[in-house]
Amino acid sequence: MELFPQALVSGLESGCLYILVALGLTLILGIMKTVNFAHGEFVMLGAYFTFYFYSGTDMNYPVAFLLTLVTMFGLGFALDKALFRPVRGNMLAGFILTLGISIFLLNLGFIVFGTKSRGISGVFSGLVELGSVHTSVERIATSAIALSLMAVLLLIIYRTKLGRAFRAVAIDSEAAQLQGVNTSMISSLCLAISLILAGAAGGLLGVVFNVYPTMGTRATGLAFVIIVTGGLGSVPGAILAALVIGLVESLVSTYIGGDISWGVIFLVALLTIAFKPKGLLGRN
Amino acid sequence: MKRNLLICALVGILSVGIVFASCTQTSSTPATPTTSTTPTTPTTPATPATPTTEEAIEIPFGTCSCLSGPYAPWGLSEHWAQEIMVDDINNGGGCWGDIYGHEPGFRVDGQLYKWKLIAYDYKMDSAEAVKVVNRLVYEDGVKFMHVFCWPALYPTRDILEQNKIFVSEQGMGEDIIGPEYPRTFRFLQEPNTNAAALVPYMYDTLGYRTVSIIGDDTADGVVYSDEYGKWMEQVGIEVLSKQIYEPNTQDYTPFLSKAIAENPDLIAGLKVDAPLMGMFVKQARELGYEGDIFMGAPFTWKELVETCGDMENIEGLLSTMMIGEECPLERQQWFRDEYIARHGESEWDGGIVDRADPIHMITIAIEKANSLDPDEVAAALENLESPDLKSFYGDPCWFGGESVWGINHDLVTPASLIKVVDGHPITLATITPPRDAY
Repeated sequence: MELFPQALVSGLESGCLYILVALGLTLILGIMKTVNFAHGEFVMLGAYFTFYFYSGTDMNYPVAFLLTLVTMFGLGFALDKALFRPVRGNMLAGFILTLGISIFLLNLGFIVFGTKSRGISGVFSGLVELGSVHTSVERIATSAIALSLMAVLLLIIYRTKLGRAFRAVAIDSEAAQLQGVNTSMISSLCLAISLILAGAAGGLLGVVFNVYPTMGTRATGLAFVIIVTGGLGSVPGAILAALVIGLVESLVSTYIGGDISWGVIFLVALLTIAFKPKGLLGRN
Repeated sequence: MKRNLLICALVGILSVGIVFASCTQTSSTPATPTTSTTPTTPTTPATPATPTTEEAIEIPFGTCSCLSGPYAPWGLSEHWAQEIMVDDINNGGGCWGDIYGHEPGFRVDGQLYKWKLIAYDYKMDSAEAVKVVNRLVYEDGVKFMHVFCWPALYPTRDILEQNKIFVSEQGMGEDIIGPEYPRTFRFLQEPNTNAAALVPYMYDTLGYRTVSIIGDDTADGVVYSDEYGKWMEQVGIEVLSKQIYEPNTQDYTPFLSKAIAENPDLIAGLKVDAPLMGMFVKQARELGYEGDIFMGAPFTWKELVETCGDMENIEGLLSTMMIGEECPLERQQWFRDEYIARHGESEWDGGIVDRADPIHMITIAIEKANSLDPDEVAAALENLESPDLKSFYGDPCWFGGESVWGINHDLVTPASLIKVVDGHPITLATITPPRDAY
């Protein structure tokens, strides 16, 4: 086995999953101007929904995965109407709200789902050998699904009327409203789509890794590093940074040591901010 | 009004989700207590109580435990094992009677005593642990206490020492036992003795000559990697690399890739947390590794099966600090049956067996010392060994550790090597560590 190509492939596979986690977070930040500390817990919820739909019933994985996305969409809409709308425009209140949701969901996870790890097994099987690089069908499939969802999101944002409205609200909410954009509906949709992305990330992470109540904690930390590195609120920036962070993590763990990989990731983020304060692809 | 309706709808959706999730849960994972200070006392006797005409005095045995949160699987299994042993001691018969031929309860100066178990949940929060230990010491009058792991032990040391409390512990880490803590004992298979027992067998019988070690960057992980690495080099197994990863890491592919590139006879996970072992093995197989894997810590079977991807992946997996599915000793079978009868088969694991050791060993020491004074009990326990002392891992057992910690307060028991064969964890070998190893 040659280490470098293996490390590259592993890093890119991780990066693809990080993209989904980070996109949901950056979307909320860019459009709703809310720092969502509960994002990791939404990832965890998505993973458990997929697990129970898939393992607890006779559903096949694609149906379980789609049902998770629909559930997360509904949950996002409901959460926006019930909790997020009243604090819209108030960053501090939003901060407290998402922190509260995070703590609530984490503890709810322990009570409802228990403390033991679960796995979404038997979805994809088989190993793949590409020259000296070894991987699994599972990793390739989950990466492909993540990239497909990313492509759909990019199409929506850059090629549809809805996407134009998203971008308009992200740049100037009041001006967008004056132009006839229903900013309230856009915010609701934004949260719902963000939760879809979190749910998708959870449903895919659960296939590759384990499902457990604290799985979102690391995901949240990583997502924040990614969106800061990529540029706050920048979708292309988040995609680029997720791939960079995935690669850095893999290469550092392989060649230097896993005990400092997290530290190096933060160093990359700090250096990016130092030399490019708006992030890799940030504008404003 | 509309918002209220939405809040109601949201609560409804969450409730339905919770009910659905609860209904479809495949294991009988117990609900974790939500209050931190609910005392629990044994309710289900292990065996029918033998009628006694004497009135027994109740002695509180306190536990500062972790009954909720991420460490609850360990805390609960400890607590449940303690309940079984307290019931067994109090009621006589059962394992207690079989091993020691004992009457119900225990006697000091002719007076009959029984244990009363008092357990509080400190939720792995050190500040909470101080409150719990204060309550046990000053409100409940506890003189014998089990403290779950160092996050509770370190911040409560002063209280425990000032009040001369006898402390039992089952966690790794520096500074758990030592001459400055004359009443603290650790009832846990220590990696040093385990490695001293198993590594020569790995070299001689299993034929390993090279190993790549991968471990987490925690106090436990460092101890495991160092101790096993030391013994492996001593017997002639070449340590090709020692890689350390950050706790909470889920993607082991970088470490495994490096290890596989070294082409070792064995990859040793020293240590990988039990819930992550399945994923560790799965990822090694995904990278094309077909060789042997050794875990230096016990796995939880259900989690391992559920997270390994394919049962083929864990075939041949080696582990230790647990007993095989067949439970070779009668006392192990008794304990397993008792545990399963109370908490269900899904909660049982071969690594739980050592949780049963502290209370019955302390009771034996109390009778030997003929005293309830913690200092005298500690002095008696320190000198107890087989055949007067019996461990659920098997015999012989004794207390060692002086060469490392300056005091013989670490329980030394035979070490088991477990192998997954045809989808079942079975005992490959049970080896007593050399007496001078520790």
